[in-house]
Amino acid sequence: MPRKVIEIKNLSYSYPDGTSAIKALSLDVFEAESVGIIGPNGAGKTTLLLHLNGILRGTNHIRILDLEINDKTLPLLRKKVGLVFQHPDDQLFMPYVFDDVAFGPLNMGLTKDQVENAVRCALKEVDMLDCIRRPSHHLSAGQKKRVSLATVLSMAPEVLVLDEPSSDLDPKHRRDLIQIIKRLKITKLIATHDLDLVLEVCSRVVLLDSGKLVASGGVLEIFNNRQLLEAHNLGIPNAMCRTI
Amino acid sequence: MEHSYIDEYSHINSFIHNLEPRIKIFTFFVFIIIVIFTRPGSAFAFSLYGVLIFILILLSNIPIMLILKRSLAVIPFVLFMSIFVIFLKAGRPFWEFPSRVFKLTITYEGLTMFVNIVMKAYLCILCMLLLIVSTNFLNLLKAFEKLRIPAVLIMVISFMYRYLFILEDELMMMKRAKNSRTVGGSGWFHTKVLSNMLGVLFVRAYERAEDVYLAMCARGFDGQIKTIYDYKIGIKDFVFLAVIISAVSIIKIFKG
Repeated sequence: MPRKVIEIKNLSYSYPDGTSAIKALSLDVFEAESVGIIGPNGAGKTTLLLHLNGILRGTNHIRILDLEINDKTLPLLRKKVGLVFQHPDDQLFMPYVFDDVAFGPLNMGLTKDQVENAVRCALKEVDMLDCIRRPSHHLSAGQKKRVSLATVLSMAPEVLVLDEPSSDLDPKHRRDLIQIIKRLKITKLIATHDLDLVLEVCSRVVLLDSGKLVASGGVLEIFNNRQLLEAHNLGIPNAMCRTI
Repeated sequence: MEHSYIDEYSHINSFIHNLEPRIKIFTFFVFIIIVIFTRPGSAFAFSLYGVLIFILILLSNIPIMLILKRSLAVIPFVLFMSIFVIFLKAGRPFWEFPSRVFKLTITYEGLTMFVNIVMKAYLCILCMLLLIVSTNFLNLLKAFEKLRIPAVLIMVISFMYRYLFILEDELMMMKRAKNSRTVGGSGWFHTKVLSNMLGVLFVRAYERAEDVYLAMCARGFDGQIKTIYDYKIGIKDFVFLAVIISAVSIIKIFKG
């Protein structure tokens, strides 16, 4: 039995204005698994992701890598769980690519050489080493997305949490990004509308709607259930339409 | 959308570029102070300062036209602020407005003062431009941080550098979206729409700030920005500092 990396039991969360975003949600994720989180707009996917490194704290129980989330474990958890936000302009806040990728490692207290090394490795992993000295705002959307990924890879996380990794990308950049994500051999949680991406990268799918977990299962099992998908504003992935 | 960015020439390899940023800041600071304290009317001293700056610009391999063009952008502000001096300073009249009701006199002293202010301002602008254009922006900020400028200020400037262009893009895109739906309407109506757009822009910037903060926290931010500073002060930096400051001082003492 592989190690349980994320354990969520009965999680509920309401936004400060009273909107209930997540209702009694339970989910387990095991080591080296890739889980796709799908669901219509406003289903609570992003809110769920924000719980995974303690940015939001709902009621009830989350354990990550056998640690409770509290103020003491927070720095460690943020190192272990790499969270990439949907909009690269939120993710990249330093003037230059290098400094952005170095931000996490520097906060972890690494030495200068270690930081330098981590930055280079991370950028190499996403094929962006050429842009190391460039200002972030001069990158294209595809490059920004990849650098965003590098900003958490440089922290060597054990769990990678991605929010809409393929949005705003042209088909080629999207394919490149999928290949990059596939190459990474760590536990992954990916929230997305891009079901083809899920089909290629993930082994398991979790379907959320209105903050509730509607279905969970193997990718093909869920994706073959057209009724279920269409009931929640989704559709069968293009790649599967062609074969059926 | 593409923007010109202020340290576009900071990657060039030249003597000026390779100087330690702290030394550069300090040297230019002293230069500016000495220029400001030079006696008005000492035209020879001002031209010597000018020659010195142009030598430095040449040493930096930065296209001289670029610096001149950018310096022009600041000149209107200087002129606007100093134009009143020619009327305000008392002294020998140079020209009088021919009317008894409106008394308006330009004096020789006022004119000297005006030329003096414009000259000094322009020399200072050239100095600062050379500093900014020849230094990588982040290294410049780091150098200021090392010189004990409060870290919060540095952080604010660094975010401004990063997000100014994004805000500009957003405003442009909103304007485009508005223009493509604009058919007629009075000028007053458009002014009102513009103020609404600015409001939306503010709200967006505010919410983005929150998201950015979350993204920073997610990567272990603890209230202090940590950066790598690679520069070390070497002999050539001290030589530069000594040569420039003594040159400026000599000009000041003998001609200013």
